[in-house]
Amino acid sequence: MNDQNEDFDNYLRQFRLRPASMRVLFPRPANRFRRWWISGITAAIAAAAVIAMIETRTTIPAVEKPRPPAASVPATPSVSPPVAAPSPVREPAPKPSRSRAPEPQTIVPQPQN
Amino acid sequence: MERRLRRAQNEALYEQHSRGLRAYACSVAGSFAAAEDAVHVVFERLLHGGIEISGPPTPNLYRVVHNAALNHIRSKRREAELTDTWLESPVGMEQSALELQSALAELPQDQREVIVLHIWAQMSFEEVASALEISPNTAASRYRYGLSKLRAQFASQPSQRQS
Repeated sequence: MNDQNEDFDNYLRQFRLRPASMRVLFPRPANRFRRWWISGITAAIAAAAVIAMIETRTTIPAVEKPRPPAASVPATPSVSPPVAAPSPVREPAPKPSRSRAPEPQTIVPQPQN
Repeated sequence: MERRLRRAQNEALYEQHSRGLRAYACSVAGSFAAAEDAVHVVFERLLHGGIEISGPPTPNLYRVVHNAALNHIRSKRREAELTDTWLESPVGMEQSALELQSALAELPQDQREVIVLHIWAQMSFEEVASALEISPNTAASRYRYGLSKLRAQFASQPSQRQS
């Protein structure tokens, strides 16, 4: 190589090939480790959130819907209030269709001799 | 198992040749982005089994990257007209870097690729010869002729004529 070409060769070597961009084809071990670390933390947070949600679900009914105390519940089924006997004023004569036929006998006074 | 072995082999190839391949693709495509894309595409296809390199890996790898760079130019001809800089210049010599790239683009392809591989990929003539499947003497002579032409081209650039 002549001197001029040698000088020019040295001149060209001042310039450099641009470095590769950040596109990664083969991730380094450090990157792999970081990826595992991040996914581990994410999984732990997700698991904690799920556990907290389950716990909240089990405790909410006890707090919000307390059962009525047992003492207030009557031992025998409550009898529905008796149907008021038809007053003589309102119903002077029982209707023939009703099943409660004998009741008017006790109410209507019988004439005495 | 086989996949892991292939990955390790390709990683070793990438470690060894990525710089040279990028420089080579720059000499073919004239654009840094296109060169990176070409190298990236080739290694992705190698990783996923899209292509197999049989025989000596180095020259085949350079040939595959050459084809990928050409395909990239063809597919993105419009963008390729706007060449980006693939040379980094010392401070204050940015214009010279652009002119140097322009002068390089005027050289015949076979001389340009030898110059780029020898100077910017820092490969010896033996390595260049192995990559391009030529003899070391041919590589050295292409370099000499190419460098003389490049010097003449570069001297004719506007800012070089002024200085």
